Amino acid sequence: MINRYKNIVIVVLLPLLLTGCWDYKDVNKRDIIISIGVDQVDNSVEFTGEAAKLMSAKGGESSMMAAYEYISLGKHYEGSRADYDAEIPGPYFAGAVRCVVFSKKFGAKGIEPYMNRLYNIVGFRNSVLIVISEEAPRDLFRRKIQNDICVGYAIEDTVKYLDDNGGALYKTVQEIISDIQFRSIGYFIPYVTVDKGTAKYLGLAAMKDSKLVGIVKNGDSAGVLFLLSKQPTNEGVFASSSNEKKLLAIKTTLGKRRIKTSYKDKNIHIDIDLKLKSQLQYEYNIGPLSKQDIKKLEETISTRIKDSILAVTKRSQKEFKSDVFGFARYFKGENPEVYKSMDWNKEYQNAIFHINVDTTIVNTNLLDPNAEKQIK
Amino acid sequence: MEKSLTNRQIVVMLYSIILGYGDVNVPKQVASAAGTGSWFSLLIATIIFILISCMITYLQYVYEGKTLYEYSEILVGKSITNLFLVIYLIYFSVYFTMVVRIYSEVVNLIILNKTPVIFICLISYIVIAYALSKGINVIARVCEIYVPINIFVIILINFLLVSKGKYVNIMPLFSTSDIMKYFKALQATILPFTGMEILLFIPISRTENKDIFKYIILLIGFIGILFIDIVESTISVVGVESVVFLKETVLSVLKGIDIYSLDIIRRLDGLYIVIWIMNLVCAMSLWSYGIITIVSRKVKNVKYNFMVIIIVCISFIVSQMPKTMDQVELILQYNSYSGVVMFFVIPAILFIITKVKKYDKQV
Repeated sequence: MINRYKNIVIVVLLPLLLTGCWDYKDVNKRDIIISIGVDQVDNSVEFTGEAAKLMSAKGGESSMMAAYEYISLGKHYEGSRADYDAEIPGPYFAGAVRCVVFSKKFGAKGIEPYMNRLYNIVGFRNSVLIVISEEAPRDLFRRKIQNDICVGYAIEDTVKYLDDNGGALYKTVQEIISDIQFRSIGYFIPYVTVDKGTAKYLGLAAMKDSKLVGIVKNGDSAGVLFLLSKQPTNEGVFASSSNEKKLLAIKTTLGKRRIKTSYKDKNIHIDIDLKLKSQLQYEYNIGPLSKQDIKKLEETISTRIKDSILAVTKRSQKEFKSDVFGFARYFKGENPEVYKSMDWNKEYQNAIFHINVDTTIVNTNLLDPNAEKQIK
Repeated sequence: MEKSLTNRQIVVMLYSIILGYGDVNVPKQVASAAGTGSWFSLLIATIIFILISCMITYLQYVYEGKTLYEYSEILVGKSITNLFLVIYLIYFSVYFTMVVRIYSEVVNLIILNKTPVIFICLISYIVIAYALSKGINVIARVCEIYVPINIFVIILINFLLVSKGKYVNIMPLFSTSDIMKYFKALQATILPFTGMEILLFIPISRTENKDIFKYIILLIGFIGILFIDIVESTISVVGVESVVFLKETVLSVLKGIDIYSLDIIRRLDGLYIVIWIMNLVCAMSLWSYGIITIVSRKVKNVKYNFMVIIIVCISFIVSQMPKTMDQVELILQYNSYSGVVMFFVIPAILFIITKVKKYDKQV
């Protein structure tokens, strides 16, 4: 009897089981968050940001790409969130968040509690980009973006693009939590603004104990990038050693990075050995380039990168008073017993750096600067 | 009489039940005890478990076509065999019930936040009951399909994790001053490796399963390497200091990674959940197979399918008894410790008697 009607029962039951999830809601009935801003306003926490506007626009045209700003206030994060929930028409969906923006004021107060919230609450992605903005997020999200969908997208796309090309650091929630849980190290997060219709990367914000302690401007961040970025790239102009007026555009990338640490005479020693590869992009005025010129140029590039590394490491010791590069990870790995018995934060401030940068100009692009000689 | 299982079917079933629920938590369990030297503890554990699995396989091979129930009666008598069976029955039942519950809890926490846990349990039990009603050969064939997919995706995910990781996070690889710590951490490797005791209830044919020892040794070795790979790749991404804080470690770490070049599957946790659930279905079916094998020996007048329904219903009711997830985790932890009796003490007793009384020569 059962076997006779089995197929009919299956056909009837299947559509019921295939209707979707338990809490399924259409995408246009959800409140899709694109970006989150967090600020300290007097004694309250202010959540702001952008949410996707999915309702169809006038005339029947879909306005999928639009976003609207939201603002909510509360004594704690939960209060601010409750204030936000009181004014939204659909369930909150944070799976599409592109970036979280902290104000400088909030950064200085400390972002660790909010990072723990992001990392542990179900629904938030732990791969979300974290940035600090020059202005309050409330003002940032009100600005109009010309070259992207909205502020959140513009910030994420800009930082991602720069990170892929070795010009910035893309720092995610998970990476920050990993640094926080290591305890004795600080970290850098991107520092941004929105200006003239575009999101702009301004540099890196140095964080000690998850509190903002300083900014490394974009122009000065080469040293940080050559220490931390996966594929740092630096493009600069150098004068030829034989003729100072002769300018050369050089692109430098990282070949190999080796960091070794040791503990001698009650001092931490950090050896940084960089092998760089440079390429002559073009000459401002084409002219011959001798082997001596190239050798001198290699030395100049090495010195410039070495100086920028020395400058930021010195700032980390004297100004930030924190190991924002995470050298402690290397030290703990190489000297586990010494690490257990020391106060890394205190001793790092007197650490001695030995930096060796070795640059090789691997090619001159498609240009043969000495061709003129051959014609003669 | 059901067709005897092939070597491949036996190893894929073992793979499913050993990885089962354990692989998602193995980095936290081992790293909490052994730190960055987890690979060493896992390597030692792998060697120990290869020897144990060989011992179990030897018993099954010597007593061809029999399960523990039959040859234990010859070796230690009926009353002690009954005691063994009761212990195994409780052990399998606790695993089966609590793994279904914890799996439902994790699914509720990660993807189906608003779905009541009881309904996730219910759906799981329906799937398992159906698989179980079809018998061990069907479960074995399902494992044959699921396991290669599972292995491929786990290796792919580990490879992608390593691409996001840093070598400095897994240092120091070995510290001589921590050697005792590494050996103490062997205790933490018991839960990930439990499951191989199901072999005691799978009959082996000498003609069909001639090279079974080779297969089992390679499998346990492979699982050990896979565990090391999972642990090291997870630690390389977030560091050992973070790993110890994370429950369902692999899933939690994957939630923090986007591989942009993979486009629509750039979020790896979704992919991992799919293969994790596939493997869990196999593992839960095999735990329940262990229960039904024991029960069907003692209760002979009840139809097999009716017995499946009764067992699944009882398990479903018991699965709802623990009030919190912590209680479920604690029960699983204690059950894994009692696993030492199941996969080592009892087989070792039977193995020694077999050797002393030279049953293997007689057979």
